[in-house]
Amino acid sequence: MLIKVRGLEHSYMEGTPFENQVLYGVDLDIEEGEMVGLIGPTQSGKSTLIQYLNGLFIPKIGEVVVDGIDVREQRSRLRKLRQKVGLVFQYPEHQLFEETVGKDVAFGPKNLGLPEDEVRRRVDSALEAVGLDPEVFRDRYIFALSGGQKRRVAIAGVLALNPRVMIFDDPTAGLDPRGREEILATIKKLHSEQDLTVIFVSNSLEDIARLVDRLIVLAQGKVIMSGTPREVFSQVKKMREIGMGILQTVDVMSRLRDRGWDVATTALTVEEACDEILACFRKKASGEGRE
Amino acid sequence: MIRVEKVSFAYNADSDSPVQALREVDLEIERGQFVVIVGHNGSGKSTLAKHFNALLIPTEGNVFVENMNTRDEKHIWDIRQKVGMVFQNPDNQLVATVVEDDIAFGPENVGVPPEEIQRRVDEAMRIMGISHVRDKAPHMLSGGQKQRVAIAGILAMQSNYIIMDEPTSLLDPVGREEVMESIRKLRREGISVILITHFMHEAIEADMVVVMDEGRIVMKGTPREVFGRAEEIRALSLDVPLVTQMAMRLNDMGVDIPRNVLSVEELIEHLC
Repeated sequence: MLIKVRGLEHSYMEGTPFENQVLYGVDLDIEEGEMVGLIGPTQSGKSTLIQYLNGLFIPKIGEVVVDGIDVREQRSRLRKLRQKVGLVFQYPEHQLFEETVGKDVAFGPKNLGLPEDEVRRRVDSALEAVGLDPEVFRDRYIFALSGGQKRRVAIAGVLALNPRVMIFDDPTAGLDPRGREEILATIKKLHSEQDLTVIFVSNSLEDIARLVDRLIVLAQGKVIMSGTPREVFSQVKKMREIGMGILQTVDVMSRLRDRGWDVATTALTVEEACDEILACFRKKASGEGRE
Repeated sequence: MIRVEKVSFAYNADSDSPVQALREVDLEIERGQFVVIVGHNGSGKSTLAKHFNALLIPTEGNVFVENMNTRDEKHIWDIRQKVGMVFQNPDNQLVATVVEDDIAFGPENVGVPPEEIQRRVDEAMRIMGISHVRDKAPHMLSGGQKQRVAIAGILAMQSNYIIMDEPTSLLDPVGREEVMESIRKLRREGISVILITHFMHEAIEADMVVVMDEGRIVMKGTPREVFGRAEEIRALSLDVPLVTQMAMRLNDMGVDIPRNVLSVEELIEHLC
């Protein structure tokens, strides 16, 4: 087990009249190499939870163990933990501060005190991994990049620390459809080619349906569901109740089903939904043909 | 009416390296219209929107808000009162510690009498459906509620036009729907909404969709006209709404269905 969370609770402004509890006993297991989606309505505790996973918060109630490091017991190893778990915040490009792409990506590994040639090697391989040719981009000015490119540079900056787990907090927010595709493709590639465990936090059900193996649904500070996207998205009623809504393709299929069509309701993509509709048309047509 | 006449704009226009962001844009937005502006990042959408309330002044050309030229400094406060703005991140635009005070902030600043402020605040909260959280701290609200508070603040200023710059991009699906429902309410109140978004399905109820590329308006029309031209839309690194994608794919597969279907309801009607 790479990540284990047990009975985790969290309150903001504890001990004040404004005390606000956001996590109410979270249990969670993530295996090495998984690509996990974390979804939940705003204020479900997603952002708080992921900050525990790389030691930005230390549990007061509950237990967080990452790759054998118990966050509460072994504070001296926090630095190590933060290297293992790379956290890419919302709008990570706002944190770019160097002049050029190469310098910005080099910042992390330099701070680790790595030798010059190792820093350079890491910068190049991180840029390559996010789909930016180092020869072309190393000396580019940050301000001359597109939104999607800047975001990939920010991801490369985290990647250059050689983490084993990457957590992405709403990585497609504010990007146009092409930028969104680029980032999703990058994440997919990192997972498959770099042997990274990926935790993907998103508000876009459509993105997450296509990307992850397993979904964890957080609501009101608790894990309320976990399963494959197909399992989770078929829970139409529950998803509506917690305020996450449902996939549009699932919406279409459920309505067709309500009208008496014999279709599966859990189509995750446009392609799947259309194939299912067409198959149903054909069945109807051949049925009529026989009569 | 907001009238944009041959507007060009460059950032750092006086420097050695100006960045041309708008090129000869013409646009008219009527009172009460719901207009959606789409385009890839850097296409000029936000730059254009900032011209509607004189946050930016054209390098060339003119913008008129109800016949007031945004160049004319004596109109600037009138223009900003008439044209309000809601931004992407609700946390960056709420200023008070209590919802009600936040909504009252605008009218207080322009010296509206207290009884009148209270009346406007009550009315704005009623329209936005947030009266029940009037005593709450804004940071305790959900994303969708926060955006509704921000919109109520503009309503309390009695603005006729509300510009929303990607107001849903940080919200969960239900929060997004809350914002869309707010837009429907604003239309019923006769208020124009100018929405900038990357989510194409948010454009399907618009009176007009404006597509921008490289600082120019490259397409303009009803959602059905614009999204019917899927090839051109895709060439601009955009996409058509998911339901339209389904209709097109089904049509390609030989199903008798129009290619420019926009809503789920419509799709179901065509299929059944």
